[in-house]
Formats: sequence, C-alpha cells, structure tokens
Amino acid sequence: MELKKTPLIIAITGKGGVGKSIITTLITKAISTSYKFKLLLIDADPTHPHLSKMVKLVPEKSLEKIRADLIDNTLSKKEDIQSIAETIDFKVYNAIKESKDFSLFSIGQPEGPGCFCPSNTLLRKVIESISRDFDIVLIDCEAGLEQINRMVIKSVDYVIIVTDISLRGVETAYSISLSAKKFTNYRKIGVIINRVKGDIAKITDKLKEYNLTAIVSIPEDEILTEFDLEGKPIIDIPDKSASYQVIKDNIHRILE
Amino acid sequence: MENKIIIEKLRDFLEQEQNSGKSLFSYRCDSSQINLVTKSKIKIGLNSYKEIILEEETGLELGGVNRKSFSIIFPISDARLIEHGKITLLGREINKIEKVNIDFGMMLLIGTNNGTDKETDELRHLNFISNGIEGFSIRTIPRRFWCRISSSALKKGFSFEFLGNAIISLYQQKFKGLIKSIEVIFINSYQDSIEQFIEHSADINSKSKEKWKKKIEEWRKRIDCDYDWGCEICPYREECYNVKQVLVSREEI
Repeated sequence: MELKKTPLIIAITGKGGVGKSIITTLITKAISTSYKFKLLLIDADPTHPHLSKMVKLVPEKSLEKIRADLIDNTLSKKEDIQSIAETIDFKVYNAIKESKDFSLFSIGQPEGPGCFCPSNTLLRKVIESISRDFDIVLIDCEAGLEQINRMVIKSVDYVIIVTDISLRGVETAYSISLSAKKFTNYRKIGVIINRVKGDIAKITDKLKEYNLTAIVSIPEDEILTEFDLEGKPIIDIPDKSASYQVIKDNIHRILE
Repeated sequence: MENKIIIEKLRDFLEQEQNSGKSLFSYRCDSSQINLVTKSKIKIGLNSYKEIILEEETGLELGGVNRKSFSIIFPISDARLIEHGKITLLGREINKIEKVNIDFGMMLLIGTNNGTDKETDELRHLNFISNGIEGFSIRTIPRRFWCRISSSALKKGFSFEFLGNAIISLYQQKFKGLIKSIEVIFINSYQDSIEQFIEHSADINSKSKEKWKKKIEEWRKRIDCDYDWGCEICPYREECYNVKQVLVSREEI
C-alpha cells in the first residue's frame, strides 16, 4: 500500500473513557503487522498517559520535562541561547523511545507553572521536523482537540473520533468535529464506534444527522476486557480478539 | 556570491587541507563503481530499507548530539561546475575509525535541469536515502547531520566510498529527470576542518536564508500567545523573550 502523503498525521480523539488509547494501540498493532511503515506514536494525553504502557514502550523523558528544562535553562542562564538552540532538536529526538516496529514519545504532565506559548511553538517546530522521518504519526489525544492546535502538530491529515454507544459520546464527537474544523486543516474525519453491542441504529442515525461518517464499529470484546482488567499490555492481544480483527480488516480504509 | 566562486572556494579549502597533511581520498562513481553498489553485500533500493536502528545495534554514529556536523545540499542549475560522480572524503575511511561516534559533515552538489522551487526543495529531504540503504538510518535535524550505521552493515564492509556511491545512485533513481550531475563531499575526523568548512559554506546558507527570509518573518509573527492582558504585565515576559531567542537562533543555525 502506498500512502498518499508522508508523514500521514492521524489524531485519535473523543470523550474521556471511550477507549482512545486502546483503539490507538490496536491501530498500531495492525499497521506494524501488516505494513513496513515507519510509525511514530505520540502519547498526548497528559492526565492519562496510558498509551506507552499499552504498547510496552515507556520513554524515559517526556516533552514536558524538556520544556521545563528549556525554560529553566534560559531563565537561569545555565546554558547560553545558542547552545540551547543547537541541542533542542537532539534532545527531543532522544526523548523518543524506539522499537523495531514503532517509536513513541510522550507529552507528559505539565511540570510547574510557566508560559507555554513560545516554548510550544518551538517544540512544535522540532516535532514537525522529526515527523519527516516517519511515514505515519499517530497521536493519542486527550479529550478535545485544543492541544493539537497548541501543543503538538497543527497540520493533522486525518481526525478519528472514538465514541461509545452513548448519545453523549456522539454529541461530544460532534462538538469535537466542529473544533477540528476550526483548529486543523484535516483532509478526512471519521468516527470509530467502540464497544458495540445490540442495536445501535439510534447512534448511527445521530451520526448521519451530524454528517459524520462511521469508519468501523468495534464489538464488545471479552478478550480485550480481560486484558484491560488485568492491566496486560493491549499490544499483546491475540489475533483472534474480535476488536483487533475489525481494526486489522479495515486498516487499509483507515490509512486511505 | 556567484555559485562558481563559492564552489571554487570550497575546492581550494579541501586542497589546502590536503596540503597541510590531512587525509583526503577521492573516489569516482563511474560505471564500474556503480558495480560497487550492485555487487555489495549491503543492499540499496528506494523505500526498501525503512529501518529503525536501535542504539544497541548501532556500530557507528555520524554526527549527533555533542558532535560537530553539517548537512548541505546545494542544487545549482549550472551543472558544469560539478564533477559528476566525484566523491571526496576529507578524513578517515570507516575501517580506520575506532570510535563509535564521530564528527561528520556531508555536502551534496547537485546540478539540476531548472526545476521548480518545490522540486528543488525535495532534493534537500534525505529520508529517501535513509529508507534506501540497508543498515543506515538518518535522523533529521535541520542543517546538521545525524545517522546510525548498524554493526551488521559495518561487518558487511560499509564504507564512505560505498555511501557516496549509494547516495548518487539513489538520487539518480528518485530524481531521474531533474538531476544532471552530482558530487559528494564528506568530512570527518577533523573537527577544525568541519568548523572551517561550515564557515566557508556560509554563503550558501545565506543564499537560502535570503530566499526563506519572508517566510521566517511570517512565522515569527505567528507565535501564539494565550495571555490576553498584554506583554507589559505578563509574569512570564522574561522567559518568553528568552525562548523566542532560542527559536530565532535555531532558525539561524
């Protein structure tokens, strides 16, 4: 499969608790087992940074730590401006945890107060340049899309909104789609309906009403529930898992 | 400064370095040397080797943090100024290097058929080289160089002569209609030579800076700020100023 553009930047977002990190992990597994793409994951949920554990790749340093050091070093004059400018790209690159199948870096939790604006612009520029080394960048976002605009990467190609089968989830999906229009220049937007059981006609009708396309519906999955309950890394889920099967069978559509 | 003068200045510099006793090798990528690529145990092919080389698999790192490095891609329309297929190495060949991480600079002189700005800009993105050579992976850092060569590639005989040949071959495959000639210059081992080469090539960077000046000015204005009450009473004014200085310095490297 040829990608239309590289890096293809995909943001996965949705209401809290709908399974964004799990879906990101399943997509990661499907991409890395089906294709030879260079894949970068960004764990961009500062309050619930679960992705790294789900994919068994925990970075030693987060972007927030780099940001805090950057501000500290510039204020305390521990390092001169020129030297900071020369090493910042290397520092961010070194914060990426690599494996043969994919790489990951974590945004992390904010460390202390401070002005985020210029440092965010700087880090976003560094990330944009690093992203060129990858074919696909998969961002596991916190609920909402504000951080895509402020913290990570402005130019998202594809926004995937995860929802459960609650009406509230679909309404949140709709409001996120409005924010996405405002803050990003996405090429495609779609919804993944997670933990589906029984008749979801009301949900799909509502999505149609909001002009949102359902990409796939992921069934309630006993194996996944067991993995989640026991805290096992989701990336190790067996191929027979129903949720993984759906993602794997449809991965080409997700990447189109 | 004219391209001809810039290139002559760089060639004079390399000659002076050689005359001062530093090692300088000159290889040629002619039709028999292309065999060096096809017959090598290390394979090349566009998009065929998308590898992540982990730290523990790394045999040699070129450039990187705390190392002097540069990466200059200089496309020019007067292809006659370029000695097509010439690979110059100021420094040591890989089999003579004992360190695991060295200072490194690479310059590519590329003679083009008047391409568009977009096509010429494409020539500067080295990820296709990174994805095209077995056991070789470039990490993109603007204007500097950082790459990893795997231990297994070193065992198979990876050399700068091979790398130069592979780069020329991959460029010719990817940019068939655009490239007329290509010449490669590598510098390693001599930190002072790298520093001086960067100085001598400053005219190339200032040319491209001039070209991008307007764009850089535009994004400088776009540093988002959420503090609505104005800079005068902003509690983070000092750090904001300092980080903005870092932003500007990074662009100017």
